[in-house]
Amino acid sequence: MNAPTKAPGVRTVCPYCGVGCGIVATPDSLGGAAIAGDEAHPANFGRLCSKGSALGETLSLETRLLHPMVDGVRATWDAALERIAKGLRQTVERHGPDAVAFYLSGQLLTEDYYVANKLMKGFIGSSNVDTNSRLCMSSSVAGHCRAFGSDTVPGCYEDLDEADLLVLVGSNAAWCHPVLYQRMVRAREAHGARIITIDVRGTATTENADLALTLRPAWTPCCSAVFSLTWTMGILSTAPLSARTPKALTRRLPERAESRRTLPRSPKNAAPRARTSPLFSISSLRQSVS
Amino acid sequence: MTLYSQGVNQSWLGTDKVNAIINCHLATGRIGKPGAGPFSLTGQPNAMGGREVGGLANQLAAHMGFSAEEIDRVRRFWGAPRMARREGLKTVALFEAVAQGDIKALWIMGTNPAVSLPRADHVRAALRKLDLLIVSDSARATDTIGAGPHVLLPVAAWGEKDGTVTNSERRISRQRSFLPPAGEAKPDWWAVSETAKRMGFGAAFDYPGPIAIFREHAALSAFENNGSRDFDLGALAVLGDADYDSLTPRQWPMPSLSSSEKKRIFADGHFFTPSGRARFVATLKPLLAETPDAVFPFLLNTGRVRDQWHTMTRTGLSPKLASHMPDPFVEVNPEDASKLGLAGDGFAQVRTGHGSAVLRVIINAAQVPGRIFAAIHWNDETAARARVGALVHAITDPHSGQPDSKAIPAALTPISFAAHGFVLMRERTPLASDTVFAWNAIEGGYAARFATNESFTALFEALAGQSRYAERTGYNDPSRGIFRAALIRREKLQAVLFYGRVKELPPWSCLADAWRLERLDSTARRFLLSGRTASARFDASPTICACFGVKLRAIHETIADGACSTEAIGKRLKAGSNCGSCLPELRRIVARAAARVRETADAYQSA
Repeated sequence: MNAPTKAPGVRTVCPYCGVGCGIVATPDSLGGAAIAGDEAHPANFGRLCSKGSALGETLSLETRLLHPMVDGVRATWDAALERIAKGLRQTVERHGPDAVAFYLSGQLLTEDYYVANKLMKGFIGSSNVDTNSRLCMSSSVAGHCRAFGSDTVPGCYEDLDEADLLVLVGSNAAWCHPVLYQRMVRAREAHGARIITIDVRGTATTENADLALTLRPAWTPCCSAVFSLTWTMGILSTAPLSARTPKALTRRLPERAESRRTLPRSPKNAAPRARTSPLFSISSLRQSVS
Repeated sequence: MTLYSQGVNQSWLGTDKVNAIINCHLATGRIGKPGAGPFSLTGQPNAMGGREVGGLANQLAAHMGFSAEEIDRVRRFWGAPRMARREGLKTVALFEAVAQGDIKALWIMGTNPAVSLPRADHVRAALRKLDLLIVSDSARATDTIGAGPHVLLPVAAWGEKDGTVTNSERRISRQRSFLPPAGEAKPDWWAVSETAKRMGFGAAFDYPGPIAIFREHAALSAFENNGSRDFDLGALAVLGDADYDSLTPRQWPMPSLSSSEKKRIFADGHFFTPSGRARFVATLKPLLAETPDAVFPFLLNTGRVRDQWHTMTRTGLSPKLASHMPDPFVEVNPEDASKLGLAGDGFAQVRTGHGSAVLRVIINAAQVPGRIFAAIHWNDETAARARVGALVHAITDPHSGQPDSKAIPAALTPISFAAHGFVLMRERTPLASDTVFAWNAIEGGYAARFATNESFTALFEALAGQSRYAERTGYNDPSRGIFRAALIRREKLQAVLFYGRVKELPPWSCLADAWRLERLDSTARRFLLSGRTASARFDASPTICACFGVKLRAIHETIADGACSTEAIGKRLKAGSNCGSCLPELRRIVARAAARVRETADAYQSA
């Protein structure tokens, strides 16, 4: 844990990953600032990872761009903005709105993002505005929309404290989301939560798992196998199936039977019906999947 | 609870993988309940905010799509004269349209696609074809800026800009400024709004500050919503300026001021599909996008390391973060390494159908045979021939358009260099051409280990050209292949070059003390090119704990002194007691030490 923050500072958030840790930054009046975790922020309760902790070393102006440039020459903001406005207008006139594009960033603030999106989609008249988040989580967006009809993250970080079983799939959270990963480890220490990893390589995360499954890169059958396992073990909840999904779709589960065949028959598959207990036991999962 | 990240998303079947996970949670009813649910760990500070405003080409705005009704609703809200009517081009297709000449004007804001995109060399070349390339960045030099933008705009960086971001759990937090803008830097929203005004759209972009934009964003999310869309910030549409300034982190949805915080969604079994029910998705049979063959027999996986982030424009400035993994690398299984004749800390060329890189070899048994791993961070600003994005194929998921960056057929060949060495400089600068290196931030400058086929003289003259009017000092012992030189100006070290055979090379950190001095004293001068240090306790081993700068040697010594757990090490050295990022490595170091003790004990008993 970081030392409690006593000095008056500015509450902000870390600029790196999506955990969104709260930071208290206390400027030193020399252009730098002391960085500490914000104990009041519910994403991190004062904790920071190595990258967040070192933010104070990244505030120098040495590599900064300090003024606009046009054609490689220093220019005023006015000249630069005139050049942009004229160039965009002419491109739309000559080639149509789809000849213009914006490529944005998950490092922009929501307000920056909103204005850029509005200009392109409502005023220039094209949807050629995309973002480097396309490389990061657009499959999650598409998966959410297919399953839920909306891009909704259903849960929250508190779930990490309450889960009995944490399955990490394709994630080296120990390195890439250290603050959340340490929260999972504390949940294990506090009430015996188990951590399973499903990955194609060994990492700091798989090394510290209760069960690490190493797969070939095309691994979707694993989740289908887990699905099938839940079906076989009787922990598949029929209530949500009928209440939450259209009947036509519950009937359409062809890979269920197929992947069930690929699972070894094990007496553990007839394990006590886990619907009464919130999770199936790790030992049975270990035997069934391995 | 299932937590997933790029190993799922960055695949040409990424959407199917996400749905395979969600299927499990729907089937077992483990969603919307405490301690349950599928959870995407996002990698960016505001990917979520981007999704909320509609910053992806296949979204319109505020979780609305491109139905006639939705387009009309957003048009009326914005008072927009020229609405987009259909989805736009997703990233990889968008840059291909740039390459094909269909897109003539491109504005890149706060990102470095010439490094991060698949086929990054192709993308960098495509940028040069544009009639108008605009780049907004806080950094003066990136590989993308290297493509030669017509207009380059300085934008406010973290610490200077002011607004909101949303994290992985739908929590909106204020990112507040605590430093004045650098030079003439301005916020991105300002640059876009000023451009819109100059294009004749002034009335719709007359924002006095970020709060006005945020209120409009919140109002759009609530506009004709009435519970039909998940994303609703209605309560914040009337936020006062002072309330925005003091806004505490909170989760959406927030439809009204009276609504309580909704930690979990879908607990009521209601989904946002037309039927109100969730959908199972039958997933395709999983296959690789491209399979390895005789020419490209390995599968290349790409990803991050612990202490760097994205293309290092910020993390690359931190000495603390530099020493964990200082060089661009490829991880190879021991069997593969021995078959190919690859040595640890030697070099390998990694080649795919799209590009090549020369990377330091790390032999790691955790890497599965036939598969290799390389980190994405290094680029032409921070290293040479280490652009891993250039190796990635441009195959994307059919639903999401996300690139398949985790399984690329690749060839691996050992490569050797005539000489090795290191260089210390006050500023990052290119080294002579046939040289591979990576700059590491150090106190007061940068250090790089290199391997080269250039002569000592060629390298030194290239450095000396960067540092004129400096006093030169040298030490050569050709019989041992030792060539060393330094540039000194006004008694202060400007550059140091050590060149020679690997086994004759001390670590650059033997010069760390001299490098820090404002004026070299006589002792420092005497030791300068000796490869030894004047200080008695000198530790060149790698840093394990970045927070407290604790090195491997110190950890070994503490273990030998009786600390036999990570907790005990934490108590004595503080290592691992702040962020915990290094705890997995500490655990491994302790386990190895314990194994050595056991082996020794066994050997003693059997003897």
